[in-house]
Amino acid sequence: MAKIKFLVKEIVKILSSLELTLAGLSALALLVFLCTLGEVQLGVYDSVKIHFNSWFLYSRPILSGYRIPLFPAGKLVGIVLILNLLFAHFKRLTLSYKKIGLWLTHFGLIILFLGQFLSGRFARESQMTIKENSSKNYSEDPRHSELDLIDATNSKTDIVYSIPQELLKTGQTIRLPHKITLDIKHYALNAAVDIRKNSDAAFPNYSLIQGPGKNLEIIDMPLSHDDNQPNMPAALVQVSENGKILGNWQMSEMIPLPQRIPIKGKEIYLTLRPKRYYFPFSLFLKKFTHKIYAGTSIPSRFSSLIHINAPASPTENRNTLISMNHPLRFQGLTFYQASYAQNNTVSILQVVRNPSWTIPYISSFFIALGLILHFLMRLKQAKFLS
Amino acid sequence: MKEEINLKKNSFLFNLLVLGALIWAFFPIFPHSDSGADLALFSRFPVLQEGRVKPLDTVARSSLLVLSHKESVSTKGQELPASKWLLDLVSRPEVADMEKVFCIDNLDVLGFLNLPQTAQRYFSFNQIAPSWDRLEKKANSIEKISAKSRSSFESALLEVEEQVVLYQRLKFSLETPELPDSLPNLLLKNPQSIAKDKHLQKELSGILTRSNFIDQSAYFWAIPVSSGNQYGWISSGKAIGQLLMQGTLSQPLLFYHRMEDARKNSDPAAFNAAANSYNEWLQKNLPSQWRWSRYEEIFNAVSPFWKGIILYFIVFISLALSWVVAPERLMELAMRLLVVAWSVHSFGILCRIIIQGRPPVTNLYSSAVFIGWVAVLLCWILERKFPKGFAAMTASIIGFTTLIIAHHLAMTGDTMEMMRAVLNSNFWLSTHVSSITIGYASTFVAGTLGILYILKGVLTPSLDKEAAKALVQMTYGIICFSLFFSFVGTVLGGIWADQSWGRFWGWDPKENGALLIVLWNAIILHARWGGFIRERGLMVMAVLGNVITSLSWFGVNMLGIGLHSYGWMDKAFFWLSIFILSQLAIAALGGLPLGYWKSKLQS
Repeated sequence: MAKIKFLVKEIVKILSSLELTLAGLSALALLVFLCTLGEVQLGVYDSVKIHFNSWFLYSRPILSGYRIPLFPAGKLVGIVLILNLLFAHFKRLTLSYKKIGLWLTHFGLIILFLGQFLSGRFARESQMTIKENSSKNYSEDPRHSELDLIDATNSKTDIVYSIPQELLKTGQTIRLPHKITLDIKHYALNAAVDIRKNSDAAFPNYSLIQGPGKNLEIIDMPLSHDDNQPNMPAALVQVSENGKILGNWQMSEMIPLPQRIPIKGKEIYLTLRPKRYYFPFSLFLKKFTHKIYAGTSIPSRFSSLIHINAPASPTENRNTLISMNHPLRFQGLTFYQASYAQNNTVSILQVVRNPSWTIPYISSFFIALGLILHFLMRLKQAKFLS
Repeated sequence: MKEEINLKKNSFLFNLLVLGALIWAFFPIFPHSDSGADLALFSRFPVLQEGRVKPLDTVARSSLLVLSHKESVSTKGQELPASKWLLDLVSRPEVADMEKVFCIDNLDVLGFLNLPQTAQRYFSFNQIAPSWDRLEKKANSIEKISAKSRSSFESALLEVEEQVVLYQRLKFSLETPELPDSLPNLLLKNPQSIAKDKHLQKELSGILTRSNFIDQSAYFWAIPVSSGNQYGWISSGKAIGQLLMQGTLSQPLLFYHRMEDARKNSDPAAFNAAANSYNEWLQKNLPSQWRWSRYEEIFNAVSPFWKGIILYFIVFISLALSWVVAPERLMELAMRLLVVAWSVHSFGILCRIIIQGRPPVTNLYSSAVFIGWVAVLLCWILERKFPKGFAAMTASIIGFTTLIIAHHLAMTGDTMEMMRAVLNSNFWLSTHVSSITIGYASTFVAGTLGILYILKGVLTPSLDKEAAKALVQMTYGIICFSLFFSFVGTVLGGIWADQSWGRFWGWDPKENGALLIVLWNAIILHARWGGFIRERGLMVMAVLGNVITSLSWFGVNMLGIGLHSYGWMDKAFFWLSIFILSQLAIAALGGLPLGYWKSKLQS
């Protein structure tokens, strides 16, 4: 019993120690440095995944693919630092008037960390591409794709069965309503599509291919880490109805239109496309403006004149102007002017759902206030002493 | 008693000296007239370039800086002012083409251009022109290689090609072709007669082709045209096109044409007459642009940052001398000259703020200027509290270095460029960017104080305990200050990012750099509070703060572009490496056991 008590005491002592704070901060600084270097080769997304969205930095795979954890990564360091901060305040730091600045700063830091954790968990980024004089009621996630079976038999509404990317693996069988079965014969996270050169004999699945992908060939490519060259997934899917094979279809985001599956009495389409998020409202792009400074190609302003059309709450229908540094916040979503395409006729909006977006504002206020109080009080103390 | 009298006498002399420095610092030097032609008048005419209305003087200076890495070139022992060079380039290209204004120092490039590889680094257009076809072809093939994988020869060659293109574009920007004398009359009174005259038509179509070409390649737009109730700008080529196609003769085009004619015929009286008429026309029709152009010309003529460099250097020398001879008087002089230097530095920043209508920091160039300014201000406050000369020394070192860095950054062109859409927000530029830059400035102050502590302590016996204590207290205070501003600046950056992209933190290299400074300052303070480091440790860590700040300020800009980018970045990478190595060496020196220090700090 005494032993356990001693052990607990020791652990608490370590967890509340300033040595741990220093180790944590130094590890964090080193991770930030490594992550920045990593971004050159891996791109921001993957470098952050390796350095911050994981528990350890691993070695390269050795013997039968095992990796050895080399150094704590962002998740572990973050949790240790938060624990350290909490323990330090309960164990070491006294709650006194003199320490109010420290308390405020550290309290703010804890909320800031938690906020970043929450937004890492719940924030969702996607893009909405709208052509002038048209409207859209969904956004797309360029980093994830989905295989969609669209039932357009009913002329008023389509029913869409979405299969997320996580389930799309070579050899996977997916059963859907209407007794339709999809066999994923081949799935590639990144692939090019080219005119087929191999004869059917080279790959038996080709003989069954139907639709626009009939004469095309999927060529697997290594994963892209370049943020400007997104991965292009592709799939070869065998469709059966009631156990009867209807044929094979090749799909890629480079074949943009849904492909018709011949099923009697029904209008069924299959497509592989970026993951979609549908909204209960639509945005109509009236005009996209790209202003430049006279005599240059330097943009001075991008803006999209949008009409919000929300059938469920018609009182909210209105015109609004989205421009750089002036986003639209609507129904828990925020729309930012991100980019443009096709000779200034298409506007690309970044759509973010982040329920915890206010946390950094609040926490930073506490931290800044705490720092000012603490340093000013120290300055006063120093003056008093001298 | 005797001492006091001496001081008083000297104090008069010193006041005179300081007054002299003050007058010199703020005295504008306008271009002299060149064999009678009023260059100062010509150089203040406003033009539109890179989206901003600016005097020809600015165009001339910044272009010459790009070509020759200097704001004025001396040829045959004579100073060639930028505005004279530009005037000759547009009116008498055959004269300008002989001026050695191209600075080429890459030996391989010189070999490629068949130029002598001697100590002489300046070449004229006429010397490069014979190799132009080959140069252009080679440059086209280099442009296809990504900037990351270009060799230093390739990027240097590309730089020369871009310089020649800039030179040629400048040359065409004010070209006003010789029109048939009778043309304006024919156009206005009897357009039908032109259609009949086959010879005249052929001549006109030649001019039209040329004017289209000038319009396409103009580096700046010099001709104001009224559109509605205000004036816009077009190129001289477009103005000629309008004359031929619509018969509208632009007055400014005519003035420029007369000025160039007069210059060609070496007729200064006619030149001045045309220049004066245009000046009056501008004052009447574009009063505000004319006035702003005039202000900017004065700012250029004062050259506040150049004067700042010299003054900070003198302050440094006086302080260094004061540690050997006449300590009090030299210190006093240095402090007053520091105030003069800082005033002219402030004047320069203020001018830029007013001319640009933007907060002080808008690009890398202005961040260098602002870092120096903040650092000197902080040091001046510290020096008042701890009058030992350390803070003043730090001020002179940082002021001098940052202005030298800024001077080299200006070699890419006009430093008051227009802000891209995402940066086009004065609110965020003034809050986030300024706070971050104040953070940079203060870490450099702390680091430089650390350097003084270590060098003085290790190499000389002069660091006594009292001085050491003052240095440590200053450094400690500045680190707290720096933590606050780096943190607030970083957070404001996050909020700006949230406003424009919808994410508070995106792990962008520049954001990471700012975070590193915050973390480093936090590490120093926690280590000090926990007693893991003492005075010496604090100073050594402050010096390492210089490394982190320089990486965050400059290093991350080099990441994306790779190490073989444009010429000046190559050089910047070289100097950054030297700086970092020197800081590591000084930190290591500070790590020497106290027994090896010449100053005895052990208790």
